[in-house]
Amino acid sequence: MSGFVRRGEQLREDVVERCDVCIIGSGAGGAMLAAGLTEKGLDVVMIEEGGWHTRRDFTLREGDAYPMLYQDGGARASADLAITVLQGRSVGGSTTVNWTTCFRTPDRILAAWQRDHGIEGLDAQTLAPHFDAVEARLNIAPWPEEQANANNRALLEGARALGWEASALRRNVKGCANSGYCSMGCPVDGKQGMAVTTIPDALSRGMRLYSDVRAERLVTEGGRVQRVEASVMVPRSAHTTGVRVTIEARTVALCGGAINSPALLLRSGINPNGRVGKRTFLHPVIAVVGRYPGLIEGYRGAPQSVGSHQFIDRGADKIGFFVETGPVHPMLATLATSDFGDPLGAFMPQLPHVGALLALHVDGLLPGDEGGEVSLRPDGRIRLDYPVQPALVEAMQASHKVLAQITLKAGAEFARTGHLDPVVLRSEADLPLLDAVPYGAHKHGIFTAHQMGGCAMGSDPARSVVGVDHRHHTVGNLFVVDGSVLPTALGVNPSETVYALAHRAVESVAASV
Amino acid sequence: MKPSRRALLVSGSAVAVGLFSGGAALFFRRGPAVDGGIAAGRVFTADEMAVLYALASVLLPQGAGAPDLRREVIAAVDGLVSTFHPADQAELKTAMLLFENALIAFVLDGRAQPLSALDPVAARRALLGFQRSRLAEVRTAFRAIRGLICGAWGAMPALDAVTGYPGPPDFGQACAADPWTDQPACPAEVSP
Repeated sequence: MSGFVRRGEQLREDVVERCDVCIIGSGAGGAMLAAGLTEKGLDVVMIEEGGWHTRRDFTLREGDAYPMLYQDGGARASADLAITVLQGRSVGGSTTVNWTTCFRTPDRILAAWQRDHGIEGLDAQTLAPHFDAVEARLNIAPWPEEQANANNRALLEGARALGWEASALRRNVKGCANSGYCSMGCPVDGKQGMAVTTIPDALSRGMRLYSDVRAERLVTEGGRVQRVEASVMVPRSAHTTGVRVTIEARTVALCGGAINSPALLLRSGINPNGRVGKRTFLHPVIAVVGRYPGLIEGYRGAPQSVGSHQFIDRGADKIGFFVETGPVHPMLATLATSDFGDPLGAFMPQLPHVGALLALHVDGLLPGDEGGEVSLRPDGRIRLDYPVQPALVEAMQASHKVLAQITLKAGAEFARTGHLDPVVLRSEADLPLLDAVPYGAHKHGIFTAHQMGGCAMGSDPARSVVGVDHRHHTVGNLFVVDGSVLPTALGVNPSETVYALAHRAVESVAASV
Repeated sequence: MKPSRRALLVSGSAVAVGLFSGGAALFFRRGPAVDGGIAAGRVFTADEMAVLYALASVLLPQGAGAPDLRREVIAAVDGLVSTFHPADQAELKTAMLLFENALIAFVLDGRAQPLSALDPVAARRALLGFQRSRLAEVRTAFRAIRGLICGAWGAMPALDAVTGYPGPPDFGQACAADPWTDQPACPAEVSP
């Protein structure tokens, strides 16, 4: 029995669906869950706010890709606009636009979850079969060092020359063309994102997928979700068409990701302990660019294939960070700098010689680090507040220095920060310049590509939103299966953790039907 | 609940509200003149498009070798903003007024002219002042407008020749089959 895809523009009349499981969201959590549930023979309906886009739609132009494939057309941000939020919005979610880096959940994070959040039964051994399964399905494997592009080679060589750890990353690709356009959708289906793997798996087993359909509200009664009320969206926009989709399901799995999942619970009035939206973590990112004498062409090749965890543990009272790279396409480069006018015009022709290093800060591990909060504005729009606390400011100062050191050691003519008045460093002797400038919100560029938390998993119903089995503490047939359940940031790229948790959740969700 | 900076941008501080109520009417009756005229967009009125054009004239490079993409950029901004929630659209319009309103400018930095009436050097100085303002709402407004205009500019294929960006390779993906929908096999062949 084969399922189907219905796009928003095909939906002209209201739709009512009945099924075993309604999955809201088609990203790393929802799609992996759908594949597992349909394999068990369950009847699944999936709705996705974003569009159904295949490689035929990927023009690989930033001006097309961001409005089509990202939340808020690529303009999602914290409430004060200090932090740019890159988050996918299409079938496949962020797995359609991520840079493919995969890590298993670090042991120290699992230990912290057990120690600080009472999460039992999640350790490397019990998760291993789930990691094994998703690694096999998504072809997760190390990307050879020798295939690293020049930007990643700069990280590898610069860090090692400084005596710091750096190594090749694992990627979920098969037949990768090394095009460098991961962030705009893979043109050859080499990236093993959900839209080309587990979504087709589930469709082939009968799943009905409605794209451009946004869940507006979960209607509950007697401690159970009675139905999901959803709106058909005008494709690639925040506007609705007026057509409604209603799903009556025995079980509902909320898989909209951090930010959107807590927002839906808040819209639905499901927040008995006030914890929904709290402890939202972002791995806040800062960048330092380097201008190299030779060609870097940071827009070519796998955009992220080398990383360093040298500074992941900076002591019990400091926020750690890890170092990776990112693609250097012109629009992102424009947004990574604070320049405008002719200084911007002078910077852009250097693009082929520009590399970029990123530092991702591990929030949520220090005592008292509550991260940010998702809430709703009076008109129902999502609001994300993320105060940049002093410990994070300190870490950002340290990470700027580390990125500058690596950049210079790798042979750059200069390293340049993203401050309003950029700091330009031409040698290590210039490093003290970084002690004289401010850090934090609105002082330099900050962005996030890893959103976590907001519906935290935990054993204590007073302090968390779902149990270790992903079941909501008070709504019996509601599960949350996505990055929003993570009780802290991970210190690694989160996609594989979400894949594995969703793979593990299949049993508990199926058992509830 | 403490109001957000973004909410303050919309509602304004007490001073800003007062200035907007009087200042917007007095100083924003018409948008700045643009050679050849400028049409209304999908979201922005012709006057608002003219303000966007004036902002683009300061925010985008105008030096030798830089193609003049101001009209294309503001059209792209209008197109993107047309997909936003109506409340977000309203906030952006408020932010634009913040830049162009002469009375607000007078209070913020002592000049009594709208941005579009300033010479290029003074206009750049004014925007640098907004970028570094002690008022968080002003900095936030600048960041929003700069991001939209400079981001749209950075995404323009016409910029490739200047930046040395090769543009995307063609993998023939436009004709890839989609087994799950009824889309035609190759849209390039059937679309006019």
